[in-house]
Amino acid sequence: MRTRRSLAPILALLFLAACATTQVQKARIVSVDVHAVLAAVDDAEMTLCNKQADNTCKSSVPAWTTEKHVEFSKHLVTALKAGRALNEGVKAVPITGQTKADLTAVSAELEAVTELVKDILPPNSTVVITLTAAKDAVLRLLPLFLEGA
Amino acid sequence: MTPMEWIALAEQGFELFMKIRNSAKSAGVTDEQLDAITLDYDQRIARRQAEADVRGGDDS
Repeated sequence: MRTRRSLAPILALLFLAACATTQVQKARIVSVDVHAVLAAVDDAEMTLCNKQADNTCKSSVPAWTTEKHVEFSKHLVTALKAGRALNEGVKAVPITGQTKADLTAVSAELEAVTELVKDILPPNSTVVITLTAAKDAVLRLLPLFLEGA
Repeated sequence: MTPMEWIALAEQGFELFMKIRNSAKSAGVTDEQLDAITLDYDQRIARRQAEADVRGGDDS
């Protein structure tokens, strides 16, 4: 009985450590996810723009103008910066409220770029579906970050 | 490149990233992998910042 009682605090600490490890691993996987999506969107849009020597886009999709490209780039800069901050944030234990704010910023920018590409791509295209799924995945992770804040 | 070709190319890119993602999920994510991601972010931010600063279609 004494042994069992003396083990209780150790078991509790092990349980808490396991929970923290799980939380950090989940957060790290989400950071990999977010980076993968942002990188894929970044590369795909640059290909779509088909940049010319005079800094204009010559896209095969007529609706994708240089102005759209610039607007898209502004949103993507914010998203990439928030993604970078998120990536740095998930290294630390416990995960802070700032990391949650970074995740929220990524989510908002993902929504903004989804709106931009939805105008020219079919709604069932993989690009649009993946963007939407990524935004939903980010939102589902927010409660986890709240626990860690 | 036609729109359909572009969509096919973009889809190939997503498939590759999804494979990387699944690999990370099964093996765990190391500090070194996160450092590599941060470096990649730095390069992409610099490139996109330049794109965002361009005044497209303005000849003045």
